[in-house]
Amino acid sequence: MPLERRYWLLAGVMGIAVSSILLLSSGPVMSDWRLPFIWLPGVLPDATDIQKTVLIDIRLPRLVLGLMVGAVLAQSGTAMQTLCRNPLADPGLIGISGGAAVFALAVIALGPEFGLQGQLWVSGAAFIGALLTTFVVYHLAGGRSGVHVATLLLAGVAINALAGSILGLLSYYANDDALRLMSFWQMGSLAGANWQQLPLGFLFMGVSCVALFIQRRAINTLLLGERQARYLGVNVGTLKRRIIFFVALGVGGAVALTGMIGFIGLIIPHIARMLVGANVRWLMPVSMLFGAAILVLTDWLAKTLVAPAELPIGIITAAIGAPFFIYLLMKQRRRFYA
Amino acid sequence: MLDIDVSNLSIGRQQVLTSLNLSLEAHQFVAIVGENGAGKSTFLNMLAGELPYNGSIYLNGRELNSWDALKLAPIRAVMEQHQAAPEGLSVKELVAMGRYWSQESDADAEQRATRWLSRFDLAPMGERGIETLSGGEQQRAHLARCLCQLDKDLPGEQLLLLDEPTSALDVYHQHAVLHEIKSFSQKGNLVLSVMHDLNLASLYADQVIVLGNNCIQHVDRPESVFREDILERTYRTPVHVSSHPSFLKPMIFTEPRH
Repeated sequence: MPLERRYWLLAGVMGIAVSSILLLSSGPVMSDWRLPFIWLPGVLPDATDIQKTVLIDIRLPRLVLGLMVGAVLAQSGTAMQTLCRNPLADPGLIGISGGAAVFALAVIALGPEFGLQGQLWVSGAAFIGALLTTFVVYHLAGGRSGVHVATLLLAGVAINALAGSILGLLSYYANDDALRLMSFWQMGSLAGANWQQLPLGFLFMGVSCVALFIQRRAINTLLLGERQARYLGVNVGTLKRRIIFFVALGVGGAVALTGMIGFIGLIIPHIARMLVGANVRWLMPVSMLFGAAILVLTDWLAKTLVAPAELPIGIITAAIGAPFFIYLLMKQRRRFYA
Repeated sequence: MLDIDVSNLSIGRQQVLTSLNLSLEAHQFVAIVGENGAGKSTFLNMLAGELPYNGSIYLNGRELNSWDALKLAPIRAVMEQHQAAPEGLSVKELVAMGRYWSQESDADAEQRATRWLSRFDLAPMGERGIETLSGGEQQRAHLARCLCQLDKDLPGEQLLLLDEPTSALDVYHQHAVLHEIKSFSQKGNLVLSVMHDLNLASLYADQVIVLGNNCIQHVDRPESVFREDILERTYRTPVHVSSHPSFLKPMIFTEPRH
């Protein structure tokens, strides 16, 4: 088994390489598979400055953002699913992304009136929104005594409904610029990626990634329930607070930059679990690699399916993710009514 | 090693146990018996640190609640009555989880886990998913995990809490498992185990705690506690006590209802 798991890690790395080359080499203009290898001697010796600019200033930041967001969403899904001991706990479904979006958009729509402008405020607001909803949803669903699945999902439904109505209200007050941003937000897109916005997003998502990753041994013990995790030597209260905090930080950072990209945190950990088992020490790295690879691949699809136009990536993830969610739900039906 | 001085223990407004005064030394296997609802699991939960109590519990000279989880793990393991069997976790990984506190490498932890698996007759099942095992096999796997957790080069002064460790086991494995538990206690450790099978308790326990009417009724060797008058009062049922033909331990016979 361990040997096989290393192969899956390798498969994830190769998936990232392939999807990265696809994304870097295609676009409405200048589709050329040689483009990513422009620095190798002998490849495209007559490359123009425009080609280099497109590659470095447009496609590369988009790739980097996609890899980061994919890894963060899949990792957050893994952590929440292990914490809730249920494979349906996805940051989007249980309302974390919705909460983040509401706060971020509130700053975009109303912020200028109060002098709150710029990406720091938007990202910060997304983080606070994510933190608040994670906390509320987790406690609504039972928290300490073990999370009740149906309540968890219903709390997610309620929060998403509330988020929807607040977004509607905000759109009523928003000006045209904010309106455009809002529709972009609700369907998710990586199209706006640029180097200026990346450092802050990286700070949020990078800190979350590292913090959750180094806790994976402790998170793994939660598979046996909170009580047993405590007997095994884990300070469960602290661990739970950390998971909630860093999931909110990562998802908040992702939402602030790309809007609501759903179902990645649901599908990827599930696939990874089928491949390498539930042990979080393996599940988490494999989920992160696969999440990064698949999100970039999906972004490539979003760019090329209706070229020269572009689909919002969230539409594609939802089109694949929603049926998958229904399948998981049917598999779990017995547990619901037990 | 374990000093309990608790005036009362309540769950919500319900007072479950009162005046628990008890000192237990290491080198012992202590069975906890009593009828359903007598508070056996509550007593164990209290020692597991799950319930607030009025009074004090000292483990190795230190108040139970002041122990840090990571420092407590190498000296106290708990096996609950109902154990999780998460999908997609191998039996060996489950047992190796006991090593969380040690910070040793995966390879070392799994090597130790393999040793405990073979001692619990689970060696061929190490790579199987825990959810594919039978109830009895799962119970043994979790017991192996607890003992793997307490596996130290210098054993002693360790506490193992068990809630009905043999409830799902056949006769062969009941004795195999109790033998392991007993030999763990003989290395200088203390085992507290809730037991329903009085005859097994009689054969293996060094001391028996009888719970009833919200408090401890008796604490003594099996020979002194397993008497007809005590058992009839505790279990409200006619009991005949005889002696094991070869081990001279009390054997308990009950009567069918007419």
